[in-house]
Amino acid sequence: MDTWKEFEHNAISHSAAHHLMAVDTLVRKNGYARVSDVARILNITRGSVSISLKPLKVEGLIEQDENKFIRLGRRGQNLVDILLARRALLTRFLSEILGVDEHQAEVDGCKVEHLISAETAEKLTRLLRFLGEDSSRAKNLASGLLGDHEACDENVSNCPICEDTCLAKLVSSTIGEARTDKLSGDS
Amino acid sequence: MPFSVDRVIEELNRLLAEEVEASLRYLHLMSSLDQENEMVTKLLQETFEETVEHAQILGVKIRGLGGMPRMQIRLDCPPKAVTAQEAISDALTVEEAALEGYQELFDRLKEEGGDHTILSFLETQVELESEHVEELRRLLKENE
Repeated sequence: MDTWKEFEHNAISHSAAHHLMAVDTLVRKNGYARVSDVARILNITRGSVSISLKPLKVEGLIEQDENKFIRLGRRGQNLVDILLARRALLTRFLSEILGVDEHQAEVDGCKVEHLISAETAEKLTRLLRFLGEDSSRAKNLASGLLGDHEACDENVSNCPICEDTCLAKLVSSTIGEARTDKLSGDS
Repeated sequence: MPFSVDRVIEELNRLLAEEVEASLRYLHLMSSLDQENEMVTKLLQETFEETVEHAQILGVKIRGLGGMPRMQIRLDCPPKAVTAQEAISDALTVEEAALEGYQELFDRLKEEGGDHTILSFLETQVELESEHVEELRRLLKENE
């Protein structure tokens, strides 16, 4: 629990999360990480990496030796472990339970791994465990979600979850579509 | 793996991105100083101009090799006032990164007997960037 709490007190940006994960990936793969390697993985410049790593060094999340090799500090490693666990959890939930395409599940998991609270992550773990304990539970849920369950007719008066706006209609649109609508509406 | 011309062009494009991004950082630092500092403003202005010049030379080298310059940068400079010390420190970080980039490419090309003209250009850049780095380190120490 302490690690979860520590993360809550040290929330990091999406960019910082990616830098830490890149260092972790490189160290696991090559045994070391350099600024140039991190830059290649993230497809950004060395300058950007160096600037982004400065506050992470100050916070003790990463360490750099005299040969400029970078490694994660103890807290940095804890953070990466938490982020990886959350990403795995989210990816499994999205792909195995909701039936989201595996690649999309991985992308979405990556987008929110550093944003969800410890509480949400914990509840998500419980849900996955609950469904995993009895395969019929997962099957029932999947058949309800993806099978012959009655499709939404977008009529909010009959809907058990919507009040005055059809949420299903809104959430199934992509942000890109919404922006296009807005732009054409503006013109 | 030996360096093909395409690979050299790709690496020079990385260095181009490095220089273009650095020039924008200097511009941002100049306008973000928490108080007027003639010396630091002048230093950033000069470094900005030299960085733009380096980017232009890289563009010419890339074209000379039959490639096209590619400006792929992702820059996020937060709206935050910086002290003279922080500005010099950031400039040093960026210059060190550029020096490392030139040095790394020079070493790899030299090892593989790369093109003389490119090697000579990279050697000059390493010397120039080393001078900048030294100057910035000295200034950082003086401003402590």
